[in-house]
Amino acid sequence: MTEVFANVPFLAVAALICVAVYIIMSQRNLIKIVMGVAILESAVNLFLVALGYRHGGIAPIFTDAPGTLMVLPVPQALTLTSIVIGVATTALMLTLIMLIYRHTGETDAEKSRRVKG
Amino acid sequence: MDALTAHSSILAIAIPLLAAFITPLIGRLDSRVRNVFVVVVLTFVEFLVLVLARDVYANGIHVYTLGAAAPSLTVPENYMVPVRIVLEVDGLGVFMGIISATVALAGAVYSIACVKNETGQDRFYTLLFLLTVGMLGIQFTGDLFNLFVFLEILSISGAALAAFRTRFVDAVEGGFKYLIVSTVAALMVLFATGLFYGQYNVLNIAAIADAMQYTVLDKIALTLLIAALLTKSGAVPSHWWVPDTYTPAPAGTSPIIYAASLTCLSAMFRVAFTLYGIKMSMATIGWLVIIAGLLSMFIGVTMALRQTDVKRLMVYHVISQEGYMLLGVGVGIAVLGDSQALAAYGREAIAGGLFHLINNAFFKGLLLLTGEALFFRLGTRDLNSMGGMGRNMKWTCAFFLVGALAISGVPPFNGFASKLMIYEASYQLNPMLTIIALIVSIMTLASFTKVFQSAFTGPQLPEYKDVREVPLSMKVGMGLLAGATLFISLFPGPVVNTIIYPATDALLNRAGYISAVMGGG
Amino acid sequence: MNTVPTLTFWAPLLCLIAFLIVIAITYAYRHRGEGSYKEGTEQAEVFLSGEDVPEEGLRHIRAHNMYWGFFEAMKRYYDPTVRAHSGIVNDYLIWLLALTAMTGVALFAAGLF
Repeated sequence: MTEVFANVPFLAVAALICVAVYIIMSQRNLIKIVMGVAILESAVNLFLVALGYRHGGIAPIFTDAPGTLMVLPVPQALTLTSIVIGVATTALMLTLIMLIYRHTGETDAEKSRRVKG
Repeated sequence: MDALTAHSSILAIAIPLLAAFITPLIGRLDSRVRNVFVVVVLTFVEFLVLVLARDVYANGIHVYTLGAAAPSLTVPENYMVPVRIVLEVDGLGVFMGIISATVALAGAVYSIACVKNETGQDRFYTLLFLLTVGMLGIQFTGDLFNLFVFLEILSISGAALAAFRTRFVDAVEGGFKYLIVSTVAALMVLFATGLFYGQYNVLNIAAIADAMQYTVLDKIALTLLIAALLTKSGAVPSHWWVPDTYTPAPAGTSPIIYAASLTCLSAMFRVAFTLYGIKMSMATIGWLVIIAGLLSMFIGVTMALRQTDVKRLMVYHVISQEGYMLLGVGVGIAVLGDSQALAAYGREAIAGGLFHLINNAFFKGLLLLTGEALFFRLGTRDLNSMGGMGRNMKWTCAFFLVGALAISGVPPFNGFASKLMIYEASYQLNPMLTIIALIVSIMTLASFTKVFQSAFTGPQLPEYKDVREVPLSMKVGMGLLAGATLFISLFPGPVVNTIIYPATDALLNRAGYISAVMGGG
Repeated sequence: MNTVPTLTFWAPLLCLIAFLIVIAITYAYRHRGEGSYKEGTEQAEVFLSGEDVPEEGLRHIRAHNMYWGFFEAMKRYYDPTVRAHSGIVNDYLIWLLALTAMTGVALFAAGLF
């Protein structure tokens, strides 16, 4: 039973990835596709933070530390970088959707495309 | 000069990054000063890359540790693994660096005249610098997470550049599609990095390669990395974004975005040869890459024959020529474990693939620039409405002929030399590969004959009587790439021996790459 | 087997000599053309096997007419391929995930044997 509890973050990552993949494959509204990509980003960030956890570990700060077993700090740094990159890409994606809407009046992936073949 | 050589790798990344954000400030003062500044900085970056290349060819792998007391102190005292970000430049890194720096310079010079009438030129040059930073970062880094960050820099600036002319709906659409596909691919790379960190507690490529045990999680990571990097480089079956994104890319940025895709292709080679190397199932990955290459070649060229948009036709050839590179290097991966076959034809195949890479960066970049030149003067990309341009635009026609003959593999151009290497090597693995490659080469010639006949030959059309030749900076930009093509065509032997074989041996020398960072065996 | 010839500075010289020979042959051919024609008469007009010659702006063959025979012959390959290039973002992502799945299946299946 403790096995399941210990692995709940990773099960959550798997669930989020499944949800995100379903959204980006099936939803036609461009904004929903961007939301799906954002959920995928959150899933990968959760994975990075979760793999740094050590059972019984404290926050990785040396000043007045109550113990010596700490969680890994490097994945936390990777996650911060990834969150910032995610903000930049989501902002650019939403700007481009606004421009597509201004040109075509549609936010549907099939109706707003102007190039094919 | 020694100090410059020791720090050249980080300077080649840091100087364009700084210049990217200084350019708008200078642009507020005067736009001509800004144009000169852009060209000077990119020339200096080219100089730095050449200095770095000379160091790598003379002294072996160049290592640079960020933040250490001396650049070569990769593993600190009392530690077993490198803990800082390490830039590790070997033969493949400088090979790709030379390509990126030259193409960025040619594209920037070309853009000076082409972007003159657009608004937001300062931001254009900022994005161009950021794209160069992304490319050089991926090529020079020895750290997997650093590769992810530079991959995202490259994706964001590439998408913003593709969508730069927001008055065209296909430009905005192309940029959006590129960004969505790139973000999903980059997240797959980040997930794989997380898998490696969870198992081995290091992010450095050489350290992971040293500790690699090819567990089930490593197989998952290999799957994600190969699929994501094949998508970013535009191989079938994930090539769909390539035509939509490259076609509306403005001015001289099409060749630079193409060099960015080639950079992602070289990152895939780095993963397959150095990160995993002999530890993975080489025949499976090798044949996967070969099949992706064959499909890319065939689907790329058959779709190209149908196009009537001149740039979209050339962009489908981007996909097709990447198939040749994948075929060559795939043959090398497939025989990586068989040392006899590797010495007989595997090394030749990888060298042929890499030689085709550098040739393509130059002559395909040249062709994309000529397509943009036609759009600049005629205001349309539709081949159905063009004709007789060879009379008005003689220089563009000459550059187009150089590029078209080179890409079709007509001797004595460089396309023939690299295709010959690929044919000879892949024939020994399986004759069917060579046959398909030859058929695709013929169809390539057919589609460029179509462009030449429609756009350049024919009688003078009355509506285009007053069309003049392109401005000087565009001619200089195209001339730079044409000159590089002709240089390689005239001296293929020395070029291959100096640049290509060191890159091939760098890919095959996994132990050397590891020991340059981990120190001694 | 070394497939790259190690010609160094002789290679451009040979290229130049071959180029000059080809130009010489081309000029020899053109020199043997018919030189005795009268300017400005019917002999200098465009001839299309007796058909009416269209006016100046309409003489050029447009791009969409080229290779139509090839496209007709390969219709069974082209129709599904062109339809697959749909331009919809979701299809792009489905193919990316399909590539990942195929790679994974191939790798794990190879590991079993």
